[in-house]
Amino acid sequence: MTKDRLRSLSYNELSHIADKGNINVLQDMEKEALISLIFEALEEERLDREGNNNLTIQIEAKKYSVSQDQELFVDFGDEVELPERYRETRLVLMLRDPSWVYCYWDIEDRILNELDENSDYSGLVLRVTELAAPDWGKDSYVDWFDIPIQFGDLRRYINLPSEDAFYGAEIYAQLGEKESLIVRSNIVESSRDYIAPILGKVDNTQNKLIELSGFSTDVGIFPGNSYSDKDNPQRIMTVSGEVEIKEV
Amino acid sequence: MTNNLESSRGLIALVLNAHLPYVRHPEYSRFLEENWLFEALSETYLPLLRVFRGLEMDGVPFRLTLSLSPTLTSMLEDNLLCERYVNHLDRLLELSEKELVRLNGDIPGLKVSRMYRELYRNNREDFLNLYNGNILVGFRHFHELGNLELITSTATHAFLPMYRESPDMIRNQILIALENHDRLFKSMSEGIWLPECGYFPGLEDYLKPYGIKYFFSSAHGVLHADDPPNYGVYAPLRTPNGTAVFGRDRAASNAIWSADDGFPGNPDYREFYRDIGFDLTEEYIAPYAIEAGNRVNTGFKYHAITGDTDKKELYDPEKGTAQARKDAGTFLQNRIRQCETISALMDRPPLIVAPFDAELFGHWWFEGPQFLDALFREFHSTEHQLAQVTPSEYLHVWPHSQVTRPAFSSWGDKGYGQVWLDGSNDWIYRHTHKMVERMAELVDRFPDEKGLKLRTLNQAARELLLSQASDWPFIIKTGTTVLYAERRVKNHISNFNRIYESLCRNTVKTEWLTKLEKRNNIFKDIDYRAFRRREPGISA
Repeated sequence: MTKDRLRSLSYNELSHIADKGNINVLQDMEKEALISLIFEALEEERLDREGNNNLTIQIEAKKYSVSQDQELFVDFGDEVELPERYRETRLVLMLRDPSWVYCYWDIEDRILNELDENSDYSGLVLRVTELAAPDWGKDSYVDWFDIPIQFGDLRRYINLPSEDAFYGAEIYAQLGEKESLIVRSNIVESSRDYIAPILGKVDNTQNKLIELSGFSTDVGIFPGNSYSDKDNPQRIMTVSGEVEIKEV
Repeated sequence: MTNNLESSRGLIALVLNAHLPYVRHPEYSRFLEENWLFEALSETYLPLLRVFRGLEMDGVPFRLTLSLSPTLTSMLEDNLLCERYVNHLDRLLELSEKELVRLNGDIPGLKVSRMYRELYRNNREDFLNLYNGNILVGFRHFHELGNLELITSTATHAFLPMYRESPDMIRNQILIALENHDRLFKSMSEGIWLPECGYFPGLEDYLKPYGIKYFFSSAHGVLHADDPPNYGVYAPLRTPNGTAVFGRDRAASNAIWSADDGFPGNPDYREFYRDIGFDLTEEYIAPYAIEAGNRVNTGFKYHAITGDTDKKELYDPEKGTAQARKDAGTFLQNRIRQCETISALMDRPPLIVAPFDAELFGHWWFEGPQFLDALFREFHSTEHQLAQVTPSEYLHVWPHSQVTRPAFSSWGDKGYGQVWLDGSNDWIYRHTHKMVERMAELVDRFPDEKGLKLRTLNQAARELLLSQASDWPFIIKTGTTVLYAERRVKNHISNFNRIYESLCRNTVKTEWLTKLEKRNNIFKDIDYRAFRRREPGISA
């Protein structure tokens, strides 16, 4: 959004933008002052957003930059409304990163109505289970935890406690002292975000090559350590200072 | 330079990923987001082809791996978009003439203005007369000469880790891309560019049955493999089924990616963010920079980066070219030093894999094509023991590598799926996953249709594929043209659902379908039967 674009808008439209962006506007503020306030807030937001991405993503985003305005006024015909849910019973886990899954679900209206009318019904829980193998066999169960959910809930991000482990989720209805399984998800495998420990004799050449690749094997030996790197903050060490390669 | 790979002290594999989402709106006379393609054509693809021709003419050898995504190639061979690109060029040429008048007497300004006039004249000449409106011919030429190793990506650039529970969908994304590549280039794609380097363990099992020999990964995808890699990222790994994975070298990549410390941030280079579409009065610039009421970039940018200041100096094209040459020399010298250090630790020459978005060169980093030109020339004329290589050439000489399983990874922010699965865009997947199921259901119900139903089912397959483009969640997350991206996903989902419901009721509206076929016309030869449910474990 440029200042010129903001100037072309009415005071009411500017107030609406300020309101939408949670920008505090003083009473009786002059239009030019309001424009400056909005412009600064939008710029700050843009820089924050860009700063939150790594270099690859920042530059990839330039492909889609046809204007310096962030909010283009466009006409694509009528707004399309999508169904919020498909009225089916389903639970899906999607691995987002080594320790977080996105979980979305839906429960058929028939089941929800039955539960609603059941006097023993006391609530729904989303049970996240760590499994030793990618199956739901009883021998696979390692550990689990419950997250209470409501009828209207449809999604959740869940932190997985262990790396390199299998996880599945289930939704149970709590009926008095009992619980009834409503739906079970697919199984995902969490991954590691560090270099696997080198087994056997430590090979210094291998360590050195991994270091030169921009990482440290220390991370593999001590997975609890964490290193920050503004480009790719997944426990990656930069090479500067430790090796002879330095970009000029 | 050396031609002998085995006796070299190091190998460089430059990889460019050329991709844009499918954007084509015949229902409008002009459409803003079609400029993504036009700008990339003008600033990246045509200038790159000129660089290649110059190298060919001067007998300078070069090796480059170029991934051309199926959505991009489909747009590049589309008649409507080609016509619109010529109109776009004509408008810019008209503007360049106006600029010569406006800048009369301003010698430095005229120099830049003439540069743009030459750029757009060359583009028009090459596009119409040399390539007859289809620049894929140019890429194919250099592929046949052995300079370019052309590979494909997935059909609509789907970020595959988000579809790992839909094996048939992954197969179709790969198979349709390969068929498209074979048709265009009359050769197999030996490797594949996994969109956003998105990999999950086991993905290789979808690649090998189709003859794909390699793919690329982010550095941590390789380094976090089940077994630590013996050579770091400096040699490929073999996945358990034998498909090779090449890890990205961070040092070489960052030299070019980084806006602050990388080459493109040099004060003498052209500033991306200053454009006369925003700098000049509306009265003057309106025919060229106002689209649907929005001010847009024209491509005429007169300023140099200068530094962290609003007072930008005028851009000097000669200084920009000189800096590009200097940076190419520095890049090469750094790789020579890097390889000297690493080769002492390895029993084979280290391989530096440097993948980039192609559009970085020219569109964002205006001097990028000149940098590549200078790099190849420097590589050829300087005394050193490095060689350029493509992944296929490498695998031919070194067919054996350490076998292990890479880790879930991408080259996106924070290294995994955070860009494509986030509070802003996660709503997409409930719908696209459902579409995958419904598509398979439709094939079950209508296994062998003809006529109108066949057309309807094929269009359903197109809408399904288009909804899965990684570009939409990417844009929604990064906040460039969010409204457009949201509308695109919603429209494809809605179109698909309407087809599904129409087929269930047996009431397809021909007029609506015809309009849709004309608008979303990618993959003309698509066959909906490919979307049938397969038995688990059958790979191809």
